[in-house]
Amino acid sequence: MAGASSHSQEVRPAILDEVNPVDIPRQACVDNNRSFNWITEKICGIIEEKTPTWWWVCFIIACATASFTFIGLGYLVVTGVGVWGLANPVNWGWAIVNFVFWIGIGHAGTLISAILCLLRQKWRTSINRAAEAMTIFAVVCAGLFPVFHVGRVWFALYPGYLFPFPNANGIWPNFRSALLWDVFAVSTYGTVSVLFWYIGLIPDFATVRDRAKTKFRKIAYGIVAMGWRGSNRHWSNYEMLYLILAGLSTPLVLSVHTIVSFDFAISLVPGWHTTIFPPYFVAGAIFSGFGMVITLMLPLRAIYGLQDLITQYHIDCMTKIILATGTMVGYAYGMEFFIAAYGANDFEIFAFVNRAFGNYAWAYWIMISCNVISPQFFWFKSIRENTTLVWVISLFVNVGMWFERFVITVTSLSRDFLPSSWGYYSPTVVDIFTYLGTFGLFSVLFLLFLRFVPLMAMAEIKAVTPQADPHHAHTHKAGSGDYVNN
Amino acid sequence: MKTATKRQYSMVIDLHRCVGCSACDIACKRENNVQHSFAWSNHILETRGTFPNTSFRYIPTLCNHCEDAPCVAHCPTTAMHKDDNGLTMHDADKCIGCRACQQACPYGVIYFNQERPHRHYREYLKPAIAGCTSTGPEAAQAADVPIPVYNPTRATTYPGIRPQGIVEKCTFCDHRLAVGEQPACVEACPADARIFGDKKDPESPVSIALRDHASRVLKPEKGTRPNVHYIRDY
Repeated sequence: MAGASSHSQEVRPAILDEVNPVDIPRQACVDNNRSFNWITEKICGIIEEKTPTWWWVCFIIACATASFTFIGLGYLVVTGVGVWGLANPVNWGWAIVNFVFWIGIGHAGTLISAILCLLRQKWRTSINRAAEAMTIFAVVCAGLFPVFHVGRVWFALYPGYLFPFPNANGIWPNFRSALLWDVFAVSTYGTVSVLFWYIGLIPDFATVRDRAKTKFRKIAYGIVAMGWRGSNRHWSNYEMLYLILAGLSTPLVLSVHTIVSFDFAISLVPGWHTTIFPPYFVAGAIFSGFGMVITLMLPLRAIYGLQDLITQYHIDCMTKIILATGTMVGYAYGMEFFIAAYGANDFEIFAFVNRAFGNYAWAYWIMISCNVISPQFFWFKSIRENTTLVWVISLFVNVGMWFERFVITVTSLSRDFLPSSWGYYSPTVVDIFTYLGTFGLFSVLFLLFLRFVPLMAMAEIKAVTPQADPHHAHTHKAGSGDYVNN
Repeated sequence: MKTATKRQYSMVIDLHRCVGCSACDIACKRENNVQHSFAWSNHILETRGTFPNTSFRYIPTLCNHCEDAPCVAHCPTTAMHKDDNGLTMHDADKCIGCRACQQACPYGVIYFNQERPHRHYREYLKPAIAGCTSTGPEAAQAADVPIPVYNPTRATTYPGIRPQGIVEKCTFCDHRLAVGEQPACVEACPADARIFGDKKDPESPVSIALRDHASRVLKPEKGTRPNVHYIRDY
């Protein structure tokens, strides 16, 4: 306590008067001095209020759209993979494009929850919950494609073929195959993401339980809150577990998309067989993940009036990450050409020239416009402060990153080594509707999340408000008033 | 990955002898019940130069049974594997049809059954020449076989007709090797352009041919170490 008392005397070292350092205030993560109570009321209010009409409209549309995926996949299982547009020489088409697209979307969640947590980025608290939910739902959508693109789906799911249960049918999977690494990478990533999400939810579920007015809600939220009472011991264990999970899942942020890139890079196909793929894929994944976070969060911010919790500072941080990762991706696009030219391999050079100026040049230039040019607008503060423009650019990022995967997959495969085996890939109606349906599936899950789970990590947001600072009382005049409850 | 095998079956194709008749392609289809649009035994046609200084090349192709086979490395279920004779074999029971092998193979010699095979024979009910030729189903009925051309001996080591949803490829006619015969393409060649044998046996015709002639393989830069060699290129 000696320390506390000496602090209260406000002894200022003489040196400070001499150098007179500039006191730069920390950027507030919650605007307008909102109180703890306001934060609880705001976030719990979202799941406690009567289900709004717009939610029902969106939910019905999302369910109808999701049915496309299930109809498409059912038709595929019954008829055969021929219902998709896969044919020599393009034997991996939209399936892997959509898989990589959704896995990439999922990247922002783990980045925000794990890496930004370890780096003590306080602004993560307002967006981590929704981003983690987005990650999990994106992994669900992603997982459908690799499973269903195989010729014999029932065998792919059968234990022993991809998961090692050697005694069940006497075989081991091939640990040299990048596809098998994918099985482990994605399933580990999915598991840790769910765990991380759930651990963070426990204190908030307890808050919802304590506020519940019906018996059903009390019991339901009581079960998922796992007896949380908010004691010191609980908080201590919680903080420790959260930190350990953050440490464990940090490598996952890098490993998942690295391994997804190995699906391509390990093969000998010109345009795929490059060492730049892992870092380039990881940067692209974070880029697309943040694009999707903005696409989802800005409308929610407007609908639920969350401007004080997702402030301009948050939008600035996210757009700057998009700018940085978008520039990295642009660098990788350029570097691929340089390496192809420098390597002096005719096939490699052709693959890249064909990408930019061949049959699929339209897709390539959509990709360049969306991924390299559009994020450059975020250099300008006026654009970062224009919510509508930020949202529109985030849509471009999503579109561009889908096209990136399309360009990588299809342009390389459509031009085989011999002109006799060249082809032009086109998706079928089944391809298109199966893909569109995954947006419905994603939306169904996300809308359910909005209704039943606190949208933001209340406990964590409260921890980054000024009044949560133990030294706050020393810098804040008592009785001046203060926290805005409404 | 280098694997030590008892034998290393290899093929040498003498391009000086090859006349480009495609008898190998047809023999392979017949022997292995290879379905419409697939060609385990195939060929590259190449015309080079400008008139009047042109040259024409006909290069027969098939699975190279690479020693460092990328299809084997990429297969997630070990369906593609190397056997004791150095052949790259495909286990149809383990195949899930993910096509990783197809993408990994730089030679484009692996084929995927998108639908039920031999649809051509089952469903094309119009004869090629009306009143003259039979339709597929008619011929199948007359011959009392599943499809008009079906070789049951193929089914001794590999499904006689590969089912929907899996890949398939040349096996160097392992079912014929097992009973001491040569692959069908080798036997069918009217010009004796194909030489087949064990590369590890110094007295085999393959070893002798490789000793006597400079040889080349397709895409050596891919590092796959193929076992189909070409000699006496023009």
